[in-house]
Amino acid sequence: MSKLKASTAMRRLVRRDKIFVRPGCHDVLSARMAAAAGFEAIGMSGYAVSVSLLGQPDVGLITMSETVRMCRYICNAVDIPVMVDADTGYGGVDNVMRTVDEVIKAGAGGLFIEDQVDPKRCGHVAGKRLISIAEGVAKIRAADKVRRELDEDFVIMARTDGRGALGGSFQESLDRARAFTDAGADIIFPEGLVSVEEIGAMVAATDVPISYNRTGVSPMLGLADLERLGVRMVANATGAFKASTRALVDYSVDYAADHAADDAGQIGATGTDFDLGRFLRPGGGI
Amino acid sequence: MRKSMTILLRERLAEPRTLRMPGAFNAMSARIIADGGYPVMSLSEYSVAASLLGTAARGLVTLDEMAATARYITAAVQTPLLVDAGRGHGNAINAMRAAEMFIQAGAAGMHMGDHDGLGEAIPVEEAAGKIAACVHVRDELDPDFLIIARLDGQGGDEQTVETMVHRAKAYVAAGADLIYPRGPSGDDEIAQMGRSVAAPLVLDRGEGARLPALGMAILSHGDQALQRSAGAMWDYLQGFAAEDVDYVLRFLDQVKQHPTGNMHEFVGFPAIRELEERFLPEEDVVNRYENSLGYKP
Repeated sequence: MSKLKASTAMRRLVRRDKIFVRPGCHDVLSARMAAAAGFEAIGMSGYAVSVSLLGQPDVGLITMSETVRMCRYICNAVDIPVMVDADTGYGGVDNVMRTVDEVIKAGAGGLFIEDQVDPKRCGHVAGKRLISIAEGVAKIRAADKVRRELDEDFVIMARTDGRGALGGSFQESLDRARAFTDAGADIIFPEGLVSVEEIGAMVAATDVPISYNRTGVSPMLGLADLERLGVRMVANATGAFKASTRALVDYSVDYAADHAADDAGQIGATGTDFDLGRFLRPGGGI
Repeated sequence: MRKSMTILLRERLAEPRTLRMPGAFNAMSARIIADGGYPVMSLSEYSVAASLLGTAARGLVTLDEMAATARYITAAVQTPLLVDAGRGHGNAINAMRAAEMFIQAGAAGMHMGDHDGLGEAIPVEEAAGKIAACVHVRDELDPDFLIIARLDGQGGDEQTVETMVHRAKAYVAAGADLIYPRGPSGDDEIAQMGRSVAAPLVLDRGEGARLPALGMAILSHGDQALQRSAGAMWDYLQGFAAEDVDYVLRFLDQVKQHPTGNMHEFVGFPAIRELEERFLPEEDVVNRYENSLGYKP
């Protein structure tokens, strides 16, 4: 039995009349763990990649090639489709086209491109600015064109930051969602909706499925509620990343205090017998 | 101007204390370890294999991947970094390129093992030649860069403290700055190595290395940071898979008082805003924060 192509698998999930969750990952280990936990898809978080790879916040410092490189590592190592956060497409329309080309060839199931001014920033941090609708439409059209040439199943998700950005509003977000749908987006990610009413109105007014991210300014709704509202895809972009960060801070504090174990020649309380190996592909005796 | 990390580590090694060395595996873990005030950190092939590639086979990690990861870490922190050079990525000539790339990546030193990839030690002359080759690169590019010779053990019963001392002496004669014996059993062997070898030791925590050990300069904590991070991610993903948003809300509640509770602040958005205020046009900064939604750095 041959494995389903990632883009085909992602397209089926987006088309299917059932909600699904894509937890975020930032490296292969977090991706393999999400797959092992039973999720049907995974998101590669721009925020978490920026912090884990660069040690810098999500303000558009990550390059396209860094995103593609990490994407390739992850797609090579998991059997579930990956939705890649491609920020603004890393520039103008030409950059968007190159980004889509590279992300498809890296083996992803889909990507999303947002309508922020480049350099972008995290969707739940103030200070976002928008490109014009026309420019956003041109980017989605360009992405759609490349997808049609290389892999028709590849999922193009248009993210609009119209709700929370400077000069934005719910209506702005709605107008953009419709325009990006007409431009060829398969699914819309209206970032930063602030109420149940907005989610419902967005689903009702948009002809393609909606992705939702429960964080920051957006309500923390249960899956059943989101499904009832008509949401198709749910992100948890930085969950595992946050857990990792917390654990690392605790580790650093514990180890600094753990003199007794050092004196005794033991691994000490800061050690763990966690079996990391079961999430790794085996080595050949190396 | 930023201080040279190789000089800084040499200064710290001259202090009368054992340097505790946690292992980083990406820039984020490095930043957290640096914030913890540790004097030195390491980057192992295993941690890059596990986190970046998702494999247990450390021999699959390329020199390029190690150097790139090292470069991300040294760009993010001002704590000296020791890089695991594996077996030198080939023969003495490949080992030279490894030394060169790690120096260029901003590392403060590297440790290279003397095994053949299958658990057997390579002949001591060959291993000493690889060390000498790296020492040559060190002397050309940065005399303060540390070349650490790792004794990976000879397997089975053949390894005795005498064979370890013999090898260590050969590596010191080849110019190694420190000796990193893997698997000495107990205080007596460590003490004997410390007495017999004219270079300070790097030892692994938890393998019998008591802190006041004779001649110990650096105590490595291996990949425990990665293990802790991985365990926490697994707990989270399992809990999230089972309970969805209820788990997320409980998690967020637990971290409210934690240093990472305000994640945007923790990862450095306020520092970016300060830089924006300093270097961007004024109208670019003020208006955008006051008239948009979300966390305000």
